[in-house]
Amino acid sequence: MTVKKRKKTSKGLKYIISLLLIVLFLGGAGFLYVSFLAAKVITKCQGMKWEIPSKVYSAPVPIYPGLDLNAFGLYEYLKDLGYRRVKGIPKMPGSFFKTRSLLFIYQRSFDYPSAHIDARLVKIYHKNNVVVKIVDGFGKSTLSRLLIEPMEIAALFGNKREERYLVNLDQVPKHLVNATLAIEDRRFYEHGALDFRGILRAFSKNLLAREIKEGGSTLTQQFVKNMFLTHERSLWRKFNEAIMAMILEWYYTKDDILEMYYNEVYLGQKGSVEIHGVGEAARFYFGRSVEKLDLDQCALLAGLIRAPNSYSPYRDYQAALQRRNLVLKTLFELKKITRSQYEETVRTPVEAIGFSYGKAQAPYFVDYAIVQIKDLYPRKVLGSIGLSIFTTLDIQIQRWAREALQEGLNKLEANHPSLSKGGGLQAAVVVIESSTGRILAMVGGRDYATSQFNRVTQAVRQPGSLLKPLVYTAALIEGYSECSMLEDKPVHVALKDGTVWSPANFNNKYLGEVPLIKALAFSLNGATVRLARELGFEKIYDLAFKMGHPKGRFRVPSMILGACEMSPLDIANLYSVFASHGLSCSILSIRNVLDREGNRLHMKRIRMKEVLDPSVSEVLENILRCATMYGTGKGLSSYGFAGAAGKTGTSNNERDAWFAGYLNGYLAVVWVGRDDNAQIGLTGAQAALPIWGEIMKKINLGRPSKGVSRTSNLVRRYICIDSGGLARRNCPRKWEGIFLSSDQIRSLKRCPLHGWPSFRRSYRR
Amino acid sequence: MRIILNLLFVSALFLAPLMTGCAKKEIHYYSPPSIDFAPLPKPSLPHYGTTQKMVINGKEMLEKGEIEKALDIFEEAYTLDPSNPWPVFYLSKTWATKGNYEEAREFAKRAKWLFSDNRDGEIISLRQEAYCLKALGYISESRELLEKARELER
Repeated sequence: MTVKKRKKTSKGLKYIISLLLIVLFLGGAGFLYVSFLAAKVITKCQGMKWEIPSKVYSAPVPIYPGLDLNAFGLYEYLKDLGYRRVKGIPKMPGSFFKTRSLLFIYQRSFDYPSAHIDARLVKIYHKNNVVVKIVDGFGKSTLSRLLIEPMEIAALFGNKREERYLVNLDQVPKHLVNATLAIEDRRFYEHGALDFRGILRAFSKNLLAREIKEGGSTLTQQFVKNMFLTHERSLWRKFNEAIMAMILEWYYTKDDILEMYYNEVYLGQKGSVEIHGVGEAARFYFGRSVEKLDLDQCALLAGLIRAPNSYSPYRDYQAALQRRNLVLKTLFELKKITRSQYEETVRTPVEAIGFSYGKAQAPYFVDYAIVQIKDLYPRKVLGSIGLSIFTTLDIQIQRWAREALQEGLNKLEANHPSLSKGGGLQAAVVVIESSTGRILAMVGGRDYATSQFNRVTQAVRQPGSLLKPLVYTAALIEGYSECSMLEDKPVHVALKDGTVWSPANFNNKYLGEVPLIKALAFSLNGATVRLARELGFEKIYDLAFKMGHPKGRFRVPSMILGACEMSPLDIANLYSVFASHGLSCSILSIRNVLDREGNRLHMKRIRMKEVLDPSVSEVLENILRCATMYGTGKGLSSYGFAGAAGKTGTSNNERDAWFAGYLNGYLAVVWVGRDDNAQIGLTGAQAALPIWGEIMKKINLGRPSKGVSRTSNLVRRYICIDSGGLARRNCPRKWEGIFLSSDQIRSLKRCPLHGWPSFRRSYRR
Repeated sequence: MRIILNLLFVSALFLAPLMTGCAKKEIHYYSPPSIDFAPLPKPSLPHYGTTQKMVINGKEMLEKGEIEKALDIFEEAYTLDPSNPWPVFYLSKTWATKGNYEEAREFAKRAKWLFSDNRDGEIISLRQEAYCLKALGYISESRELLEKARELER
């Protein structure tokens, strides 16, 4: 061989080897890249594929015979839930129709903690808006009570704001599957990951039209694009999409892919939240679970896939109708439905149930509720595991509390303009059902957007005279009665550190000898401290601890006049013992926690413990009623209801204004003050009592009594609260006193101040 | 003849108390009443009927052994109408069935207070509380309550 030939051969070899090396390198890189994509697909598809937000719900609303629907606010509640008022018997879930004697409600399906209730029509017979009978679906069966679904008060999202209700393929109706395949990918079960025929068809159509009119993507490709990639229109993205689709088809069956597709597909928008999956879309558009969808609804959903916002019935009814009819026509052409089905369905209007954006109703309460379960479910986890958290919140009472707080503070600032400077006034309200401990409303501040600091649970302030009832409770236990005479005079108490504590009355006025009922009703410091000293301060601390007041650092005499720090929730916890006639109930904010399959994970039960003799609490309640009638709380008489028991509280230098009171089983505590702890110059009666009065007025009208009505065995006599004697006709302030035993009234004499003997004495003079 | 009759009469006077004293005292803690058996305090609240029906449903659940469902129903009935002692009484029974006697005792005490002018209701609540106390090991307190119940029965 010549030298030239040898050189040629070696060059050729080099080229071949280089080519081989390049091919090997590319092949290796390609293999690695495909492995990387495969790992991405498998990891995502095998693990938790989606973040399902956890939802926080208010308490469901019970309707039963005897309930006044108007006063209860049912119609308002239905509207808040997004129910539409229709003319005629409702045909869609999420609507209601009212006549003079009948109320039809087509309820949406809902997963209650106790059971799943499908969408159903109920008929409520009423007379003057008072429920007479409740019947399920055209007189089939009578219901003893009806639960209206709770309102979603918060959705706890993870990284994405997506709502999704997971379904299995078995749950997806056949019509929806046929409609989806007909309009999106007819040969889904025939082709592989890529549909080359479809690609060629789309390519030729687009070439003729000189624009992109049709895509050739399969359902698998669509799923891959939504799940793993962006919507960027590029060859690289298309390339990745194709590879990942092939990987997906390699590892999963067609049914698996279709199921994942149905849980991923984007189907609309609810404010800032995206609706994903047919499960959630069925509830969002039709108020029913996906299994219950009719042919026309399936066709509409399938039609939405291409452009959910353009074809949404909430945005463009005509576009939705046309798109749905196109899907129906396609189904008919493919012989998936009969002619009669097509003709009948195409004539039906598109009906969607409507939705409400769900304003943040109780953000402070939601924060508090989440804290209760943070040990089990941290906030980050809640955003992805799809829990349903059922709380105790009463939406109406929450609204009343929020409005009363806002209006009350605005009025105070309007009347005292100096209070609006430097951040303005703040307030906190908590309403509790005393017999069960359920929190019905919680407003932790004026505006959550400005300050998320929850003043109900986190603001510890001096409660002032709110703790005085502890002293009088201890006295009643020791055998004192409402008419026991006390000395209201200046008092000095020697403390353990050698100093002397000398509390004074408001305005430094002392009334001398007063009956016990007057001392508490008029909040007399002198009489209270003398009484506490006589009983022994340790007894009062022990009683306070037993009733739920924290021990330890508050074991100082000044505690009885409120020289300690407590939050409104602490005060509510304490007063709930009085309001419930001696029971200490655990404060409840969450009742049930369900997982996304509807299985109950946690349930908080009602727990109670008798910490005070009910008879003693009955007497104390009577004294606190006197306080709202004649004493420091007498401003309540202008609110049109009687029988409220309550106590005002004003801290030193008028920095904090309080009112804690209860009526018919509902206990509310209101605090007004400033975050910078500056003086507000207002008492509890001036600042907090009006807010309390507004809330309780609405509760009194709009909610049935939850008070305990039972025949009391205690002795009752009319007394004069000024003298402590048995009342005469002339006594200006008579009160029906309650006594623990008849021995307590044996020593009582007729009122010496207002009877005709005093007239005789003055006449003789 | 007269002497024999007198002797018989006197012996009967002496023997009768002894015979009753020898009878074995069975301790009945409680016998579950039917819902209609004891008239309740005046039903002043409109949802009294609703809560009574719920108590009947709850009883059925309890008899079937579905304790959690029974608790759900009784708690809901109690929430609707805290004046009605029957949900409270059955909450006590259900907690006792579950083995939680502390809770059961508290509910029994409450039921007793709510059955204020209802002697039969008081009796069954006393017995229920006595049963719980016995289960908790407070035998003497339990016997005291049973005695009270017997006194009321007389």
